[in-house]
Amino acid sequence: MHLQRYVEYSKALIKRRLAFKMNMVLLMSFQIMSPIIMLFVWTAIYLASGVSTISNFTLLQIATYFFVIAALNAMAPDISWGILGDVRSGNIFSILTRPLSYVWVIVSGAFANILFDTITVGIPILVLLVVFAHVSLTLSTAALFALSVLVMLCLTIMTEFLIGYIAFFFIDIGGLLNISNFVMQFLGGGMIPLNLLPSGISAVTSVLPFQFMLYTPAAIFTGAVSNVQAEQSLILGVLWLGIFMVLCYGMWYAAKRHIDAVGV
Amino acid sequence: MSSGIRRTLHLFALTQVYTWKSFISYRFQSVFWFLSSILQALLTFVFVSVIYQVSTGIPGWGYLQMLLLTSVTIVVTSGVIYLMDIYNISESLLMGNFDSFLTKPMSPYFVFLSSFTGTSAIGGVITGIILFAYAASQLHFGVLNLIAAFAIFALGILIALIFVMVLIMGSYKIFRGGGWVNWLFSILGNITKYPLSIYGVIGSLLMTFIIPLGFASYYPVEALSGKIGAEGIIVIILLAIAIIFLLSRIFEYLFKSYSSAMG
Repeated sequence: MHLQRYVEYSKALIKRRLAFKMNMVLLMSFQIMSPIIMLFVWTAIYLASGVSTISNFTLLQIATYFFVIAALNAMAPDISWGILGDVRSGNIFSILTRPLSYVWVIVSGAFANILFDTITVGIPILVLLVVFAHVSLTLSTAALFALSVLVMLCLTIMTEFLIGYIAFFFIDIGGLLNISNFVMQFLGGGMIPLNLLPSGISAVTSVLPFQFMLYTPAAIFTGAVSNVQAEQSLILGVLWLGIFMVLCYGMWYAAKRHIDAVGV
Repeated sequence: MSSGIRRTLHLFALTQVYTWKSFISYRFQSVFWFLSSILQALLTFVFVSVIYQVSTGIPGWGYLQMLLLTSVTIVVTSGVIYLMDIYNISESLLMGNFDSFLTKPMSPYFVFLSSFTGTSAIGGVITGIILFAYAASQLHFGVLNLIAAFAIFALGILIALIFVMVLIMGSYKIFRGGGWVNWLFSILGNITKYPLSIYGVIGSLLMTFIIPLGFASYYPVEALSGKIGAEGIIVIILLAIAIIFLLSRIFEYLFKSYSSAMG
């Protein structure tokens, strides 16, 4: 693998992102709006309920939780729409004729976006939380959080690949991509912390891979789960990584045999 | 009915027929687009239900009242996207495709409302109406409250539509782009899913006068629930009319000063 080629591709993508400065500022502002809305909603709920904790979350923890979710959402790469675009436009043929691996072109693009969004949105939000929400991270918790973010990014990339590969079999999967996004947000704890869901649903989500895409890192950062619980949970996350890796390989193999770009 | 209005309605119906024919020509894909719109609305319902299961909810708002508010917001946001796919309009302005609409003898309002239908958003509108019907069937309203709520809702929808038109044209004029308007509208939709009272006085005033989307969902539900007296309803209706007048003047000014991206 000629690593330098992919590094150059990543650099070019970052330069392109930097070119649209206004877009960058607006994106950052909008990313922060969702947790601010949640802060207002949950403040009203806690004040009305007159309780200090709801399902192990204090108001400060739940507010922190949604800000961490915003940071993670910003860092998560969006690959499937890109694959759909490549197939629909026929651009995939142009990439495949180059001495490059399509998968690694996508991964290097994802890496560039992750790096860019982590530096511009993710880290600033997390630093602000440590300073203003007084989140005290021990070294072991910080290490577990970093590991959980790594698992989250790998799982998200592979899930996006799996969904994106469906574009090789159908002309337009935009609706399906939207559905998968909503499902991942909901089952991943992006809308509501998973331990707040009814016990039956919560039990199901605790074995699914989606929890690692948002809930687990956010719960570790806020201290809603102990380090021991986090370690046990991450073992399951690594197992899911293995399963997804096999699925991705199988899907890519099937997709390559079925390659048929539309070019609209 | 004047012939002008009849012609406009006929043209609108025709554009709808062709839009829908185009949408359902890819049956498999259209089903998924439709389902995604329904799912988005249903998840809001789940969110509200979970909140009321784990807590006493938002002060002054019972579960069914909250359901009314979120369902009306879903109808409004999905309805606006159905009539005006913000992303497509912005792209059309940026790429210069919008100019082709200007050669036709149509009002700018008609161009915006008929030429960029976000077909799949109809799933959200239908789901919102079903949720509203469910919540409303469990509550009891006076006839006058219903009439007042409907009047404010109708004016609120007009405000929401013209407000989005102003945002799109304003964004194009200032930034020569408008993809972010789609994001902004989505966030504003999220804000109005909850009672404006939770955002404090400043937030409520902001969502009433500067970003007047509260007229389409919050105030109608307040009127329906009997939380606003007769005087308050009259004031809101008069305010809504004044805002419509002001927004339409701004939109017409922006539209007149439009210059093509390709020219």
